[in-house]
Amino acid sequence: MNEDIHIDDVMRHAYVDGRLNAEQQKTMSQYLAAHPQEARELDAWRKDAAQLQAAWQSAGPPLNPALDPAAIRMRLKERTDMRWKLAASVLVALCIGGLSGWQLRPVPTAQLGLAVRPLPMQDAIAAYRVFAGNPALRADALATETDLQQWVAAHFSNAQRLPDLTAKGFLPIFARMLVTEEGPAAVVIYKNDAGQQTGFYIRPPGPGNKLLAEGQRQDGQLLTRYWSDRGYNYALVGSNSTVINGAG
Amino acid sequence: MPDTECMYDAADDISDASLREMLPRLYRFALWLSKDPATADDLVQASIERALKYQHTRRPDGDLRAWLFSILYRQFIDTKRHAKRYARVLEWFRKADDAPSTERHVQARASLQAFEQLPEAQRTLLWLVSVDGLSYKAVADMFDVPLGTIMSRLSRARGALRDACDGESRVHLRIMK
Repeated sequence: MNEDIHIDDVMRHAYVDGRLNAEQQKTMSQYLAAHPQEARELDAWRKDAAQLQAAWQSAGPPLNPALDPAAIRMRLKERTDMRWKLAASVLVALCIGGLSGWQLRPVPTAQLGLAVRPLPMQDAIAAYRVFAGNPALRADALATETDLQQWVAAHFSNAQRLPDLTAKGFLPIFARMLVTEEGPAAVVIYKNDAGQQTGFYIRPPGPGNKLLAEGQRQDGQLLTRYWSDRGYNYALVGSNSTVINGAG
Repeated sequence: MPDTECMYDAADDISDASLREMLPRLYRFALWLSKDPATADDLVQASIERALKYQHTRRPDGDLRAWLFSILYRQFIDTKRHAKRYARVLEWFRKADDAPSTERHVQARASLQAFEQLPEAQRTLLWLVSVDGLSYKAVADMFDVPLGTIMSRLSRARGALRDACDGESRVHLRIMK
């Protein structure tokens, strides 16, 4: 009778691992009684499995709290945000570096006066647009934590003081260092109570030592005043009323 | 946007609670693979991060544990390939068996030495089934092979372990003479 019982691999292993239900267990016992050699083999497998289990019975070291899924989820989000900000700031640096480099490109003598003249301090406008328009971008210094005047003085020795725009209701809020082909630059963003913004920009004149005659330029709603002093080029970018007579 | 990867909490999202429930077994698997608590921490962390990032790729009817184990195992294989960490000794195995009787200790050691002689894939399969108690179906899901394949591989692995154990016993007998 037992010869008719069909036992497949799943049954065999379930027997070894103790995963058979009562009925299956009974069937298996009948089968093994008729096949003693196989019974010996399966029992040996069973003993091996039990020994492996025994070796791993102890609880192991306590779990590291840092592995809690909520903590991992939070770190993942922080990292994703940070990567995005980093990518944005690299893009900004490239744009600004590219713009300022383009200003300094050599112009063939024959074309002087005829070629499209590079606009002075175009990089200042680019920096202002990026940082005034993206509150999510990381600042290097915040007015709530650092004296921004001292911060600028520490990075640009002998530079002019930050323009005082308090009469127009603007206070410096944060500053950010940037990389340009002329050397390190910085933008300081001011705000008034109404949330309007103005940017002060400073950078060295670069290898060509191209200092600027004082001037200004309208670009859409933005007015940019630029000037040079004490070995640096400066720009103030913002609305007409703020920028005119604001500094310089 | 990058945030969508981990921000949404839709019904099919893996909940923290279900991940937390899996954590001890996931860690134990990582510890068994790496033999080193710090590496196991790294493996589990990297695997959960990966699971959260790619949860949309999970088959809705698939076993969550099998899916997490497969991510962790792949992660381990990658790490091993790069860092050649696999040569670590079985410190954790030895620590695990402090209290039992000498006889059981000797038997378990012999069995473990035999176990360590097996190819890594066979050891992993035996560990998953015998120690972790993962269902055959879940193991099949984990390696994405049919159930029948898992069963025949398991037979081979158990046969190989038995042969290795017999080999160990003979060695012990010779030493004792």
